[in-house]
Amino acid sequence: MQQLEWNPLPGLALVILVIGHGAIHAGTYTRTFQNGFGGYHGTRDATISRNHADYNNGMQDSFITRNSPDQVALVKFVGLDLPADAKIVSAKLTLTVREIGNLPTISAYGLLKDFTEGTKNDQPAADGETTWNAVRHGQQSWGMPGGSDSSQEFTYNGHADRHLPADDQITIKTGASHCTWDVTASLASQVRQGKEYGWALAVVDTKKMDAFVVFFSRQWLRDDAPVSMFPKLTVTFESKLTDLSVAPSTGAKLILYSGRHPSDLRGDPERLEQFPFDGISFRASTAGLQIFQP
Amino acid sequence: MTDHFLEFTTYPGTVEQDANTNWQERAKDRAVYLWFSDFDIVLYNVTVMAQVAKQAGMVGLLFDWETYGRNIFRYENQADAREQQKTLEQTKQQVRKQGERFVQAINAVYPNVTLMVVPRLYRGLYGSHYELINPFLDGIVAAADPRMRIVDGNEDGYYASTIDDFRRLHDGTRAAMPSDPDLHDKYRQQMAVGLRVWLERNGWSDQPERNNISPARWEVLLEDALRTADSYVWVYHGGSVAPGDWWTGKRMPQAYLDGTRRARDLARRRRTGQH
Repeated sequence: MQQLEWNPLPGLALVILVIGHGAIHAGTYTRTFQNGFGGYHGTRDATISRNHADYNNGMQDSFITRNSPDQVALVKFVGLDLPADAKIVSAKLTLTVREIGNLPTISAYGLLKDFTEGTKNDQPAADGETTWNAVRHGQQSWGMPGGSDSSQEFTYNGHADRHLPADDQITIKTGASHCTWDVTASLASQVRQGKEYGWALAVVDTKKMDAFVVFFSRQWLRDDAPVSMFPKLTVTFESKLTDLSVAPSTGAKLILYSGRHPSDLRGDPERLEQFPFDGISFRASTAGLQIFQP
Repeated sequence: MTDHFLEFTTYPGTVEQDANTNWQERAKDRAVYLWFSDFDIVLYNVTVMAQVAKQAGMVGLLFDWETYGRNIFRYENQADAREQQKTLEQTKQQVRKQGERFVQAINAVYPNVTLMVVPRLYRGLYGSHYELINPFLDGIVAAADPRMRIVDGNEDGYYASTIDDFRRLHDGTRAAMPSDPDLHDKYRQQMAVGLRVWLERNGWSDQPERNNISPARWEVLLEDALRTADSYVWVYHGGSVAPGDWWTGKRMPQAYLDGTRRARDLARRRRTGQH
């Protein structure tokens, strides 16, 4: 809304206010969801394996898709907190490739069921954790093992496990690279229906033996891993409400509690320049204020 | 520096000229007339606070509800409730209502303010000493402008020594919810996890080798906290007889300043995707 200045004619001011209010337009915004970036920590990923059909594998530092033996990589991003009126313009899923075998072609399918990453490292699943056989071990099977039952409808929590056709398909030609799938269609559906179910990534090659890709997972922490290695979802959307909701977090900053006011260092600009914090908090009493006291 | 906060805390009030202003003794035996009587004074003061913060370009307010002196969040201390024969449940309802008015007063002048709450928000049981804090926080969450960010300041970050400690604290904080289930979605959208660290917690010397936390250890601790928090990591300052001075460098070895700067700069690169 435009800034109003004092006007001696109240009626005119009211007219300006009404015009200003009616002038709110949908803006286009892009947000990146990647663990460690901008304070986001909502990525979940896991591998499900035909050979260990009742095992959970959510805690490894990589996740895998392979065609022999069959393995499927699952990834989702929870806590997107997009505005209620968000209309998805585009969504890109980017994963960092750690290793490949036999030039795999990988499709990204929108999931129709909500997997649980789990707490195991290729060990028997606990109740509720996702495995090859079950979207929730001991509670709910996949429509077909491996989450492979598909539907052309975006109907959630029915028999089908994933949407067909796939959102996108990529042939990966090298390791140590970033690969990006266009997942606009499935994310738009998930956002419309309030789901954060994510994607299944599966090798589609049927003639190559042992085609596979290993991705860096959210658990990869060795050697101070840079944020850029973690799974990333980049969403562009239109919204009228974005400016009326809490601004997205910009990531952690460092504050000194009960610091002195920066003006104390006016005479020492070099030290102020070197001051190692992003900000300070200082007591209201230094400003002559006491709260909870007359 | 871009992110400044104005701190305030909870002192039971007095207009007595000769009142004892020592915070440990202040009003310790004084009855609390607040939630059913004098709350408009609080609303006035907090409005002034919000105006000062906004006009000074600060990102927000830091609210420390740990009571110094008479505990205003303990039911048995509430003289006005007692005189008006208000039950605990009635008092909780009143405190929630005042929490709503409290945040509305702030938002009336600063709608997109960041409110950092310490020692913590909902993670932790306060027992009968603080029966009224959760209703007050519920009121804040319920009536907060949707543009306002509420940060849990997490004093328990003191006790974290590894990144796994910070992560457990982060996840536990995210999972702790308002007592009113109707507020859960709103709370999830507006809250962020902060962490507190304390360099001088086990005493302080200007000789780094005598300190419990070495400069290198301090740098890693800050990196881990900054990597885990959603919003702010705040460094508590003080608590020892002669703490170091971050501003002048007095009793603050340069190695701590350098380590702090490197941790901050790494976090900046991470925030902008440059690392």
